[in-house]
Amino acid sequence: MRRYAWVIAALGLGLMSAGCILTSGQVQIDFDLPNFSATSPTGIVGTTIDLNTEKEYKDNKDKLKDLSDLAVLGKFTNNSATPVDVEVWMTTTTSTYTDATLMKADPTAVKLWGPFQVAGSATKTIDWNASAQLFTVAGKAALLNEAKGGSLGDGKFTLYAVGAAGTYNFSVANGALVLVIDVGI
Amino acid sequence: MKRFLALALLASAMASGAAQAGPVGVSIGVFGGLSVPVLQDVSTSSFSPSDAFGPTGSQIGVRVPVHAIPVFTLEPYYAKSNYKDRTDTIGGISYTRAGFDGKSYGLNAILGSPDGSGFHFFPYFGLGKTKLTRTGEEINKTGYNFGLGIGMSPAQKISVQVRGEFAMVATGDTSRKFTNATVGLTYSLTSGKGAK
Repeated sequence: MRRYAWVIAALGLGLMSAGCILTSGQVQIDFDLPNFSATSPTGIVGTTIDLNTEKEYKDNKDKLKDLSDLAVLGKFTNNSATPVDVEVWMTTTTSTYTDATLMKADPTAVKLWGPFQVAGSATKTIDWNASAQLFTVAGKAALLNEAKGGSLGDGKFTLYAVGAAGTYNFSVANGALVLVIDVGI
Repeated sequence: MKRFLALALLASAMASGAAQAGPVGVSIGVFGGLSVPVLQDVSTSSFSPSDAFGPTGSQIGVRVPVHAIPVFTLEPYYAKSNYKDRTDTIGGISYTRAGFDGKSYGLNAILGSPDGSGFHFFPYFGLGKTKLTRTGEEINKTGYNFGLGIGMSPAQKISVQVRGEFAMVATGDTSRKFTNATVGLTYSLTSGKGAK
């Protein structure tokens, strides 16, 4: 077995040289969102998030490599009798729009998530697995840039929940944005 | 599965080529056991060492060890794994996130032979392809593994192995990691070195 020692040593060296590939992990960070509502296309309310206020993010920001899993969670209540398709948009710079059309016209605006349909006059808690499927490619990329910080983004952005079309009136309670980040340890 | 068969055929071809130089042992085996995610979806703010390991999953598969050269046994493998769902309370509401379903195939290089006679240890390392899928997430990347096995032969042509291994799927600069503990049963198809 002694003659195999060099092979084992080489293997060990190779694995160590892999660096953070071996010494890495996936860290889950939950951002609680305040209760918010969108009473009409001209009655939306944004929620500004500063990732830097979350200790877990701050502790791992420098080691962040990628986003591996995302979810928007919460209890959605449709206050209207007609079904609504809820979308979440973000402006990568903080903003305070109350008009959905103006918000979407913002040059930094990107659709992050959705649509998530809630029947008329119904309350629906979204399933984590369903939510993970609703992120857009562009939204995920924008969120990753914000999370990575530096020249790509400052970790501050504003989220808006809006209806995909028509008039709507819904509210979101117990909301959370869940990020699972790939970090090199 | 087709790729696994191709790997198996390649290994068999290598074995038949090497047969000119000496006895070749070809076996086929099945295995099953536990697979545990390591450092996945952890919360660092309330981290305790036990949190490093996720919900225990299971793994089953087949292996075809081919002992064709003196030092190594080459072993194509195919494995399927299944990981449990994870429940978490966020914002006062309980949510469940699906665990991964995994499929992997590749080739292990074993120092020595896993199905030799007597009671013996055999270190090994492997390279392959692993696909992990769950709702909203798919990883299809190169996988690495290394571990240590203990083998014994309770009857002619039959060997039992217990293996502990560390496996990871490279995802760019990081990886998804697992520890696996499996028990396998191997039957020798030849009367070569591995058939004892």
